[in-house]
Amino acid sequence: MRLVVTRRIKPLKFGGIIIPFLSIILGVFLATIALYALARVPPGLVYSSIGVSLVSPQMLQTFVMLVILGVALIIPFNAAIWNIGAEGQIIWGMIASAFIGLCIAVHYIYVSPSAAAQYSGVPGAFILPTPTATGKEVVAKLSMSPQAGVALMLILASLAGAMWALIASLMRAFLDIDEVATTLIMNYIAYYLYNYVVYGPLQGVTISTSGFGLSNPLHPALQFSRISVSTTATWEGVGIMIGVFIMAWFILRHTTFGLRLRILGSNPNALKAAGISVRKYIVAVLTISGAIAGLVGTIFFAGNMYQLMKIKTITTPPTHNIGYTAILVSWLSMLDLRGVPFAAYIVASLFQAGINLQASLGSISGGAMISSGALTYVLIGFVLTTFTILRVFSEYRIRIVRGRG
Amino acid sequence: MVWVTNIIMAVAPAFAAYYLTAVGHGVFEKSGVLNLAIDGVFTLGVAIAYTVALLAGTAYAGSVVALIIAAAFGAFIAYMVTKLPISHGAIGLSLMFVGYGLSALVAMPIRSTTGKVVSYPLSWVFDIGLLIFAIVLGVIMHYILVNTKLGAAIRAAGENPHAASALGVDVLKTRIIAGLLGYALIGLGASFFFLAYSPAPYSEGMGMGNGWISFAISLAAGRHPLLTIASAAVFAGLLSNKFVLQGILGLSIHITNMIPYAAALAAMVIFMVTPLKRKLAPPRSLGKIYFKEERTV
Amino acid sequence: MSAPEAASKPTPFSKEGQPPAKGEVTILVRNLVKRFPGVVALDHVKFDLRKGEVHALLGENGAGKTTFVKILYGVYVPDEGEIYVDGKRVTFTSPLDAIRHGISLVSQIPQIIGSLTIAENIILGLEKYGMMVKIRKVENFIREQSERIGIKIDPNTEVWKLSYTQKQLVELLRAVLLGAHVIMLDEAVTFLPIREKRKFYRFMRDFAKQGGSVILITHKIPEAMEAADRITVLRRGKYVGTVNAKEATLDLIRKMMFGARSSEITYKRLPSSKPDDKVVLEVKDLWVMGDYGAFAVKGVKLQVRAGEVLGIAGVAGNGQLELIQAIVGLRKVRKGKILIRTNGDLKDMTNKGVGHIRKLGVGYIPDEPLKYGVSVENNIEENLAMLPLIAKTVINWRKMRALAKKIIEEYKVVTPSSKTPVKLLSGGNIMKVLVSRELTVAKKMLVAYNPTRALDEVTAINVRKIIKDKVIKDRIAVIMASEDLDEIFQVSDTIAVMNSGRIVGVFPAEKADRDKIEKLMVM
Ligand SMILES: Nc1ncnc2c1ncn2[C@@H]1O[C@H](COP(=O)(O)OP(=O)(O)OP(=O)(O)O)[C@@H](O)[C@H]1O
Ligand SMILES: [Mg+2]
Repeated sequence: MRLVVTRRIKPLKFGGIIIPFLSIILGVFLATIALYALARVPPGLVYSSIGVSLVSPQMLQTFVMLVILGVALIIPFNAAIWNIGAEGQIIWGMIASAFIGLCIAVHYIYVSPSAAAQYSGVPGAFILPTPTATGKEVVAKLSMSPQAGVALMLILASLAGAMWALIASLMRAFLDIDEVATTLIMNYIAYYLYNYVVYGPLQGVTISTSGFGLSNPLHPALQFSRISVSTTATWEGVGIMIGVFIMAWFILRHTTFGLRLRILGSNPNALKAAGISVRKYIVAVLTISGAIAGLVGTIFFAGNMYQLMKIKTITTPPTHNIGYTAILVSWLSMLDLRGVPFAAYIVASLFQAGINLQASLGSISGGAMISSGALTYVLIGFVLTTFTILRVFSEYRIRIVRGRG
Repeated sequence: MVWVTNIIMAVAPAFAAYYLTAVGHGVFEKSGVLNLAIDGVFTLGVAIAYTVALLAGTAYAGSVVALIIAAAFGAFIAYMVTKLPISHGAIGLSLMFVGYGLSALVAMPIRSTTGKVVSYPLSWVFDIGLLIFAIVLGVIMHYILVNTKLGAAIRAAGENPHAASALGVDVLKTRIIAGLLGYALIGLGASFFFLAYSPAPYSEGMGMGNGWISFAISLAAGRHPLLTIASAAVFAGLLSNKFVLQGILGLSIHITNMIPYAAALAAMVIFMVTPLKRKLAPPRSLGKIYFKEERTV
Repeated sequence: MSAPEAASKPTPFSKEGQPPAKGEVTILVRNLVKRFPGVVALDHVKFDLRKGEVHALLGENGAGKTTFVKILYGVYVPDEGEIYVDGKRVTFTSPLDAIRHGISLVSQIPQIIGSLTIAENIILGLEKYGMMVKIRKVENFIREQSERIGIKIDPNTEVWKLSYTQKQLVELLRAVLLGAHVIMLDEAVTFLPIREKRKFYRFMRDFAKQGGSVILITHKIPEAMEAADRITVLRRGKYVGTVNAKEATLDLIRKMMFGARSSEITYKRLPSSKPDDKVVLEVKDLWVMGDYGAFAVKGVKLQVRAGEVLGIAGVAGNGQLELIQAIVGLRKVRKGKILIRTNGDLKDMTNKGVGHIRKLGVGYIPDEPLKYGVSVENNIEENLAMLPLIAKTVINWRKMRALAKKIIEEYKVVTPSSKTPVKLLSGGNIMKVLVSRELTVAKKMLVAYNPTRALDEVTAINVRKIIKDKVIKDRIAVIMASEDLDEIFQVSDTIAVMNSGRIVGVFPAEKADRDKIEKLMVM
């Protein structure tokens, strides 16, 4: 008796609905078993936190970033160029936005406490919460319109992300060096560069920041505006998401560039024979991907962080490893743009479920032993493993073949 | 003489951990399976090594159990992506998260009751033994890959599973063996990472990221077990001596932290501009979805 | 026509323990069904193979021949039907199963692995060697065995270094070393130069004489009639019939294969297009390097005029491929010049790059069309839009769909829709898509290499007619290299013979003497 996999003549009816549904049920069930068996987490709690998170506005910010990054990665992935370096590109976006937001669009002035009072209420001026080491107050003063500042932040972040990806793309295009390895390695370099920057050029001036691996806080006028239902998402973030998505859809579906990058993924020889430079395409897709990922750096910085804070251990970067999670999103979407929001939604809700679960665990036992991260990982891991496996059955079927070979 | 033992003691444990993990990664990927679960299983391996060593009272038990569980992951991945037309990337990353999550759960009960740690002996004799053990395993893997029928089957499955199957290779069996071997080494490497290299009181997520580093070490050497000795040694050496570097070069610690990674990049560039290039090319079907009845044209 | 009746009683073919004697049935197939999305590739097919016979399997493109042999080799698992090998019912789910029963398959595209050595490729199917056997130890065995059957090879050579012919020889050697008593050749000889082809056929006969059986798939009906004992024809997945090769006529087989369309087959010269004096392509003293560091094209000089088809005849591997690639800019010219007419003047286009040359209105039908011509994962519309001459930066999909529809209608491409991935079309239909696309962009010139190889007769003749019509209608210049002399004679206005990198003779087609040309080709 042997198992044989064949393609269905017609895809499974309603497979697109039944399979995700089944996967969530089965995956959650497996996760519950693991959680209960190893850590005695009550199953009821798991179910309720997932139920809540599927409709929770809290996950919006994660969703927004995963959609943007999913799009950023799907572009090179379609060309079979594997950008594992979104992390590093986001970090460069953060640094670039911080540079604009903290050094170019704003200047920080030391003033005596009495003079500081003068500034309260002056448009464009903002008194930093804690004074400097010298006892003087610091006032942040805008040196350009906030709109221009935000625009500059986005532009430079995008350029910085693109530049970081460009290095790997050139190595791939001209030396044929595997971009999976280079982009991955460059993430770590970016993390350390970030630490270098927060202890160096972008180190803050107040007593609580200087020497502690913290930058100045971002001027409130440059901060993105929160969406009131969500505690984390911003209007600007949502706008960027929609813009990026539409742009990518247009490029991939309606331009020769988009078509050819997909052909690059399946048959680069055909492109060569048609007279198209494969190298140019490799460089282009990776830099575009980096440019989009760089924007996420600004969304992080101007939307949530407002301040760069040193990375304590390499496993807890300010990106929360979302650059890796996004790889999963783009693979779950089967490299199809239309699948990105769906995949991002599932992943973002599971993320939120982990946070909710930890909160409720904490309220029962008074301080949970497991972090929300770990709970999230268990949920994401089991649900998506199940989904990845089950999804093939919408197009394929398993037959049992009897008889001897 | 003292300085020799000092260097060995400083570098050998890190080297063994990274080297074995990297070789394991290389062996598995040679069979054409994109191995993105590595960091999750590595992290889980660390947690298992810690927990089992503590429960059993001996570090060896930690290594053995980590090896077995990791190997089971390898076999599972190999089975799934070969039997079913599944995306290697999606299943790999999903399992990475499973590994991360389980690592926290596995270590949780014992971590909450004791701060004790059981580890391998801190002696240069052990470290030399470990060093030799790791290199011997690597050389054996190289021998298998290059000189035996099994090795040819693994390479064939990685280059073109359709052609390999037509040539008479049982692609499923071959990849499962590669998965077992590869992940056994990864589990072993993870256990040494904790039990020999950094046996500190366990905290959640310990070891995370080091699977990726081994991944990079392996790719920097084109997945070649012998060249990986060089890339792992350079990496582990620079990592274990970053404070020395900082003193010598007078650079900020953040910059010296980058050096091992920059060296890995440099190594890749060097390999690719030399005639080694052909030997180090990635397997042609790495990560490609395998469906036996696909129209191959 | 007696075989199928005899074969319809399945058991017993051989008494236990005795090898079946010559003439006994070794493989029997009944009611074989295989469905793929959108097509029934095999529809209740029956077939029987006897000991010691060469059995040709014929049918037009997409008839199901490849599907059939892949099922016998365990690559595909049938949806329905029974297969008996030496009287026992078998179910193959992998080629290893077939190999164990002494069945081997050699395909058109060598299924061996380039980065492995010959010995490694061969040993993979030899089950008597365990997993841990040292490859070096087996090399000697392979060397001895290959010398025994008259193939000289060094088993330690990596396969990517071999020529196409050598790779096919390795495939054959492999089948023999695996102890096959059934060898299936799926267009395995189609691409071979004439001399090697003859050797292959001779080997096949000897193999059959010693009690082995061969299933031969080819589009060259005369070759099949000469080499085979019996011929089975498939059509659109259905079994048409089996005939004795001696009793069959070319006409009968063609009727079985193509039905009414067989009347379209002709090898008469197509009407000439009457070239004018305007030179479109001029090649001067061209020197081009081959893949192995030696000159493949050595001082070639030629001219093609508007409205002219220049056919380059020659045995494969005499520099035609390199010449063609150099003309479209895919291979570097070391010495000499390539001039192409642009805006009334001949302009130097030497080493200007493919992109530049193609933009002048040059269509290109490459060798290995599936590798260099189309992107098989994409659909017809996308395969059209990929060319810079067809779509600009922003693609007008409505225009692409209209163009695709026009091509599908005009060239009778069989496809569920213009949005079907090209890889699901049969070989002949993929070729039609490619040829029609290239003719669309060939405003000035078409450069082609073996444009009809692997096509069935009707399709091949149609493709030739399409090319010739375009030459007459739009007065483009065509340079076409082909290893098929019938093709050269049918379409060319001028015939040039290429041998060892040089042009050794140029003849106006109506005055060309076939014997003389054949002599020049192998001289
Ligand atoms: N793996 C596959 N998946 C889907 N469709 C397939 C597959 N293999 C073949 N087909 C389809 O099945 C039909 C029969 O194809 P097959 O390759 O057997 O034809 P053939 O007789 O070998 O033709 P040719 O002479 O062009 O090689 C075609 O319509 C083809 O498109
Ligand atoms: Mg065929």
